[in-house]
Amino acid sequence: MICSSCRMQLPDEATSCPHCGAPQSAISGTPGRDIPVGAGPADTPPPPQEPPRRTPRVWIRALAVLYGATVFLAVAVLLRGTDGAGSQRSGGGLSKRLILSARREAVGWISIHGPIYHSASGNVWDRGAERWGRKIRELAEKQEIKALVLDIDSPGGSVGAVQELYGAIQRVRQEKKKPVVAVVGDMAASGGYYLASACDKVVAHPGSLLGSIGVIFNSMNVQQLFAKLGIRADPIKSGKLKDIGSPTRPMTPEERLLLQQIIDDTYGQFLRAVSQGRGIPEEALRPIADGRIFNGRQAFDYKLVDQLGDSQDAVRLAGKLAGIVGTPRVVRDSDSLETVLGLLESSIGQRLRPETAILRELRDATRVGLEYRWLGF
Amino acid sequence: MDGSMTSVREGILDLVADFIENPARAAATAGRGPRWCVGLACFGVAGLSLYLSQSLVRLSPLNPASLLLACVWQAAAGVFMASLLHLLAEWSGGRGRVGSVFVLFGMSQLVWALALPMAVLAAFWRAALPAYWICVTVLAFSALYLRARSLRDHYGFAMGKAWLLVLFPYLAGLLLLMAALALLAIGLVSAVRLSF
Repeated sequence: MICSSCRMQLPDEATSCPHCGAPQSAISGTPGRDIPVGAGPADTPPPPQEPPRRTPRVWIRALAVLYGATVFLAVAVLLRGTDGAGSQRSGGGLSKRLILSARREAVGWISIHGPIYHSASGNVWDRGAERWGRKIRELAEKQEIKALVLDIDSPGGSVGAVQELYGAIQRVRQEKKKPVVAVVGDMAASGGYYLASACDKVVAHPGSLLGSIGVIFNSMNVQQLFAKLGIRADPIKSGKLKDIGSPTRPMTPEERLLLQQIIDDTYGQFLRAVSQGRGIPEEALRPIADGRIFNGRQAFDYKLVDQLGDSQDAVRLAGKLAGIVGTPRVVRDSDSLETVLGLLESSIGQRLRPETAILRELRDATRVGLEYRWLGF
Repeated sequence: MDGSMTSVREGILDLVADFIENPARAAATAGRGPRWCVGLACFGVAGLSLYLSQSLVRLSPLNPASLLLACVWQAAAGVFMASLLHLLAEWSGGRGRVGSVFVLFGMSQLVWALALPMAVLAAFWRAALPAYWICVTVLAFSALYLRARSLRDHYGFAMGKAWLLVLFPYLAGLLLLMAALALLAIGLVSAVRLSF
């Protein structure tokens, strides 16, 4: 059947058009004009009447008012509950209870494993100080994260990379006002301990290796090897000290003195950082800051470590410092996309150029430059 | 002026009330002449409800720009979906108006207003969080059902055909995604096998 008003397709039994609302007769055609054969005026069915317009129902108005009230309540909760992220609010108050009840407070966990250097490629998924620093910042930004735990298992690394992470830790403590607890795995030597000392508390296993407070400038003299191979270096330089540290010749006394001054100054930075972080005067620290390593128990005796324990103890301590009741939830620094990209790169890279992995290991083992690193590892 | 505003409000409320109580009547009213402002208002309400609900559950700060974006996104998605489904409906023999479909879809999205009370409850009582997510799932299916019902009433389709039309864009999107992932996997495997 076709509607006489809007010409839309209708079911045959429709009495009104669902598209335009126009009433329809029982048979197709123009409404009211077609009369069945043999039917008289008395048999003409009355035209269907359009339902009268009703006034708006009260219930829909009530629903609208209720919805408006809910929106108002939601906005009020959000404005009060999320105001001053990370700031301490005096007293409990509804907003603090709301935050506590809606999202369980947590402790962020960042793992710093292996030598600490800047990323070689600059890719976001590449291992390095930039990535760790970004993880520290990202976790510290989250409202539900009230404290951080740094899981350190490192022999140290380059001075720049270590100090980059040191700065990130200090910012969390000073700007975000969130406590940071270091937990030592196998070792936190040299640069690893530099980072641990920047934290509010240090937790270590009794057998962990710590210390090696000092600086090293790795240098090599391969002159005799080159001589055997018939290779002689012949640099042209703008100044006599331009090739200082060159492996192709012995170091001159002047160069050695210059490098030693750099080392001493960089060592002073290390000593100062540990002294400030641990609250130990530099004079008291200097005798044990000669590059020696300690185990956890010895470090505890020297007050380089606050507590002997494991990762669970570190999490509980971080929760306690943050005022979290009970065992806090732990939020790790994993990023699925970065992990996948990193795995893809290493997998494809190893397949296409297997020598890349070997070269990378050799590079890490034979780095030349200023380092907070324990070379015993 | 007040009288005309009151009658406009009453007209909108009538339409929404009809959509709940008498869908065929609502479809007929919308079919007489699309009221774009009604459709936009409904999508705006849906966007506001969704944004506030998610913010409450995550306790993320209120951001006016993000809120505006959420509402604009809802409206844009509504325009896209109404246009696409109108096209598909016309190809399958239906006759109707895309503007009316937009208005009806907008009213279908009003169900998301029900997510807000659940989110407020979850903000006060964390144990209610799973109930919130169940509510969201139910509302999502309800919105789809209301869209299918709107297509049935506007174009005169059977319910099954209306469901097929409503689900078609999502199924097509899923198939495209699976095809893209398959191509990516093939490409990666080929790259890894280059060394052989």
